[in-house]
Amino acid sequence: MASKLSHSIGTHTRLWYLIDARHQVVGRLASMVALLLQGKNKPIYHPSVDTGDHVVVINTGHAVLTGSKWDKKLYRHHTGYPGGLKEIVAKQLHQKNPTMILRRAVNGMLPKNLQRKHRMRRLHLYPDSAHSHALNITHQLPGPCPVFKTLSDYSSEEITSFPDIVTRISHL
Amino acid sequence: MKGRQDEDHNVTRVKRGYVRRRRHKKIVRMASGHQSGRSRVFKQANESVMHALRYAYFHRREKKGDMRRLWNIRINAAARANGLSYSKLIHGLKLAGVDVNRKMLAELGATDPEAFTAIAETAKAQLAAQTRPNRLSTALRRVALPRASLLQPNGTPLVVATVIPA
Repeated sequence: MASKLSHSIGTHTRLWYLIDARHQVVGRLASMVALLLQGKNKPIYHPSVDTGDHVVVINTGHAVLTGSKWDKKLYRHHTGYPGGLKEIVAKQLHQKNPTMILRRAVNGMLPKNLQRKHRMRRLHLYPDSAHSHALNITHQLPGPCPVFKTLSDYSSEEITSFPDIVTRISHL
Repeated sequence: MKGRQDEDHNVTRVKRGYVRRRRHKKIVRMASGHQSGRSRVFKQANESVMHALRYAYFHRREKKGDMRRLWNIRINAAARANGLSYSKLIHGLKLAGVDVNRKMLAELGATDPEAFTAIAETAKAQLAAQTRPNRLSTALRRVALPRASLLQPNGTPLVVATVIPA
């Protein structure tokens, strides 16, 4: 067997990742979170051992769905009684509980085995930036989608000093 | 069987003795660890052992595929830590003529990260030497264009594009 001198105490501990979900597309973020919860980013991964980490996602209330999914995406469940198919649109589910959309997305992306419950318990979702794990967080990760600056993020100097392309083109 | 009386008188009487007991003990010992009656009672243990041996036969062959699948997951993880995907790494190594097998690549990824980084660099160098020059359309596609259709939950579109002032 090769030597494990490169392994430290940190190799086998559960890390705590912090991810900001603001302006991140739900599915792409959920995909990345599911990989972290399974521990598939570690070269010591093994399916029989739960090598996953804790993931704290903040600002889930500001996550993004593309297209018209806020109005059209349906979350369905059946109560078990006849005629008990319940449907709720993404927008309403988000208003009821802003963490549910991301929670359901990650839940669906984890392998459906006995480990799923334990992995979901290591997922901590918060609708705003407040979270109670500040002492545990080891890494902060960027989300999968590039974050763009809105107009309000630019200072007035940057706006006035921006090159005037439009009027130049109109002269051509 | 009265017609065979004379043959019956000549055959020596054979008691089975301990033969059956020893055969059964062998099987029941092979079934140790199986649930309840299947590890104690010969009739149940016999079936259990037959299944177990059959599974063992087929799973010895499956184990090779299972191990390779595990190595691939580990190589993917180590490659992505080095900025490559598994597919790009394997392709780059094939181009470079590096024949290190997946078992060793996974082992290096788990125990010798510096060696794996060196291997990843070889792959990256080969891939960089191979890529064709980008056409303008490919280059433009790489520019991060703002998404125009992000809707916030209250229905108003999220404006991410900046407006050039007059």
